Amino acid sequence: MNDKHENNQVQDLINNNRLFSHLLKYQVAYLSLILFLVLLVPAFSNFWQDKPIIMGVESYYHLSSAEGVSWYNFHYLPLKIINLFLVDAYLFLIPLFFAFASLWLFLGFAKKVNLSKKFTFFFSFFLIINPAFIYTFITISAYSFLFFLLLAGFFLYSSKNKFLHYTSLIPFLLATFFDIYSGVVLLLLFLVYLYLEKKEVKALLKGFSGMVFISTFILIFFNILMIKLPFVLGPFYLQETIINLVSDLGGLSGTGIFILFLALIGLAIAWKSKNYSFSYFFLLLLVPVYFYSSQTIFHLSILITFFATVSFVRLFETNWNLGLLKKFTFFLLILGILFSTLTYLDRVTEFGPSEGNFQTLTWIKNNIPGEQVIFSTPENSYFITYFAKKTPFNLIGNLNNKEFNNNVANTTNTIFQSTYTTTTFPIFEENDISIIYVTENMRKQYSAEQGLLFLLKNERFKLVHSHKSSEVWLFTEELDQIEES
Amino acid sequence: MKKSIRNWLIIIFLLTLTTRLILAFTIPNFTPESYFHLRQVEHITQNGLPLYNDILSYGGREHIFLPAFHYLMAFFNLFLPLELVAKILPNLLLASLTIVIFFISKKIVKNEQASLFSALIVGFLPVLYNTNNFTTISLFLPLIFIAIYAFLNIKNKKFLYIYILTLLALSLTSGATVLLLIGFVIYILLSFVENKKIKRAELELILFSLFFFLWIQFLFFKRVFLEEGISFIWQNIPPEIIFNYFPTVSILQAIVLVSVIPFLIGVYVVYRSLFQLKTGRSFLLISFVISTTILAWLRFIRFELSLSFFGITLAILFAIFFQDFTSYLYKTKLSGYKKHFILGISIILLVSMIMPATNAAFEQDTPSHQDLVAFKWLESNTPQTVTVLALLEEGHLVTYYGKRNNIIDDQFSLIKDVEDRFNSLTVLYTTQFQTEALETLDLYDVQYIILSPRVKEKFNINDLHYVGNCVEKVYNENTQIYRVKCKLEETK
Repeated sequence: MNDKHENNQVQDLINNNRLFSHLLKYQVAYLSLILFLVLLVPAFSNFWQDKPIIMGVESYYHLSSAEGVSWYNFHYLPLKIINLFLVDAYLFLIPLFFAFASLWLFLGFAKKVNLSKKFTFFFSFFLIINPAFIYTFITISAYSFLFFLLLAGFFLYSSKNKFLHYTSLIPFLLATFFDIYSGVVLLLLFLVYLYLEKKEVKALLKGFSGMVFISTFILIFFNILMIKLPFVLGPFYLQETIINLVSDLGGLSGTGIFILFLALIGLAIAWKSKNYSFSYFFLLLLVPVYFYSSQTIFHLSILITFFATVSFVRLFETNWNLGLLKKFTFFLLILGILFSTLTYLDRVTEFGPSEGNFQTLTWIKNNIPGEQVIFSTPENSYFITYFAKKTPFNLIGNLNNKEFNNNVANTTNTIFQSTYTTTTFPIFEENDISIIYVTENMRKQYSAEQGLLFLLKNERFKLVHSHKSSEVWLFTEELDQIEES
Repeated sequence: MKKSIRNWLIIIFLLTLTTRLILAFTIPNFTPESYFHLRQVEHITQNGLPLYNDILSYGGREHIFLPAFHYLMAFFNLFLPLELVAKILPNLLLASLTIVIFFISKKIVKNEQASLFSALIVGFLPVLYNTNNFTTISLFLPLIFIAIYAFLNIKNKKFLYIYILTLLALSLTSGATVLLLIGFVIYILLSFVENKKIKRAELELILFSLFFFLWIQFLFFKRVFLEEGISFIWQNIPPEIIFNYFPTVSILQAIVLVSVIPFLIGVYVVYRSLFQLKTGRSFLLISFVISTTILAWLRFIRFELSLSFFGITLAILFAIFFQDFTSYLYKTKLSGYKKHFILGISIILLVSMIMPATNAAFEQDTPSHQDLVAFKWLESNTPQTVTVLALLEEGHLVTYYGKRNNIIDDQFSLIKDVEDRFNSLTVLYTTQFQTEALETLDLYDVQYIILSPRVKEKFNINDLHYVGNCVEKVYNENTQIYRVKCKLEETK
């Protein structure tokens, strides 16, 4: 009996452990501190390297859109106003604000719905150090704002104060304006929340809850039919399903491999538990949509974190027959998860725009006057718009026209692959392309011995500027044309 | 254990070891890939650390590999010459499999006689008869089966420690340890499907193993994962030769390599265990068979390893068959012929295995002494910094004996232009045009070209097509060596 008690004490890692009790008691402070560190490391690193502090293609998509705000994208007005008061170097404060607000809202919401402190702590901790979360909150991304709105909605909805309760309609309705997919996720979340709270299907759609549900539902249809919102926003990066899922395989964000394995175990645990069976609904929606667009990794990573937390808490709150292994496995997991995050933080600042990109594009803005079309890889498009204030070839014309977009993508591909001037030059002339912006990534991606990079040896291309592997080439007129003019 | 059984086990072990050593010392030298490991062991013996920054391979690159095997060999190299260590130790380790397999079979079937047969089959499994192969597989196989044995005895605390130590050694020896983990996962699934309860301690051990292995691989291969993404599984092997590493093997070839009788009986036992008897005792082993088959089919593990693992597992399953069959036999009128029956099986097994095993040993692809002399010639007759063109299979001979830069070898990981290099190699041995050859030679800064019998056979050539003023023969034996004298330059 004594032995068993001793064994239980030795094994007690998260129940009556003193260190863990302390962490739980001050979880708001500790989680805020971790969030602060995790989000400020990339910002400081960028600052140190003279890079623009805000990174990611999506950030510059939103900033460019805010610059050209008009009636059809009126929702960018707040960003435009903020951008007027905040210089570029301080723009990182926007996602930082959303991150902290989201964390505190979640902790508040968890308290209101009596989510166990243990579960809340580990879920928040795993989420904060998840690369998908980090990437979303160090860039100006639609999903960081969406996450904040969703949490604000649920926090207000769960409030006992009637005014606050009714105010929840505002964030819920705003949350439907990002993309159709997020609207559907919101509906599903709302239904699951109501079901778990009231445990009665009939009560779900009565009164205010019914109003929220129906108005959200109608707004989603309005967005599909009238505003023609895309099903999923973006994509803003190359769609590689596996790599974008596992950050340790070199993805832009994704989830750490240890969290992913924990989540797989969590799937098995949730299968047996009635409390968690609802999570399988989300799995049915989120996984196929992720395969459709890996841009939705943020949504999926929240679900993965949820399953990982389920398994982590279950594994370490129960007694093991092999007590020695329990401690060892616990530390291995914590180390693995942290190591995975540190590796990500170490390389996250490699993502663009680099200092070379920034300086070169600023040079274009200052030295090449007029409305010029710039040719580069699609991922440079929004950097060009924002920093160089020029039109990238990939963004000319009507962006909502799918056929037109496909044509542009095909033409871009032809330009990169073709080694014949007879193919490439007419395309340049037809589309008024006069500047080629070459980056280090482009040189890594394409061979210098063929395609466009090979053609740069042709006399019609002139290198006019170069800074840290970023180059600006001018596509000049033919000699006889120059003589004629 | 009965004394007679113990004696028989010792006899089987010694017979296996002797056969392996005779073959190893009869056949000259080592398989080409062994020279990479020999070089690593030599470096550890001299410097205490593996050669992670190799200035000769690919003209300078970083190696990332698990070093347990090399450290073990380096330890013995402190007392014995490396060549002797490389011939004796891998064969000793593989011969020791007979003892490990005996104990696993005994644990499963509780029949010592049947277990002796498993040991005998493993001792002469043709696929294991690469007696001159100095690679990690010789340490990996005994270790993985020790781990399985410890797992089967997990109730005993002593075996828990043995399991942890073996898992540590395995995780530091080969990435193929994933076989064990996937086997465990399939074991859980099979037990779930068959409604068999898995012991808690087993589940805990499986969980621990999963995260422990993951952690070690993460520490070593973090950079490889990041740079190669999901392709790290295929070790950056050029697509042109991926079939050499993960060939599609015909059933007939597989049967010959794991031997006819164990193969047929293994299939029968798997069928009976899964669909008729549904007994738990063979579930773990069947899980390993399934995991090996899946991983080999998906080309996640190399053909040689998967077939070896498969063959050994079938040998254990043979014990189940033997026990079932003899107990059935005792119930019939033929029970008086017990001894004859055992003798008969022994003879059939030995006859059907010894010949394919020795054949497999003699068919090993080892370089001749004459070839080695040519590679050694490089060290004393060429400047230290030159790059030498040799076949991919001979890349390690250039670095080990010649101590010169090669342009390609079979360590592909983290090499960005491996496909270009492989294609250039083919061009350099087959092109008719001197300008094309000189341009490519210049690209990799090649100053010497090796034309071995292996090259001649592979490309079906007798000489380089562009030998002349620019490429002169400087060594002319069975293997020829050429010096490149010209460089292509732009005309003024």
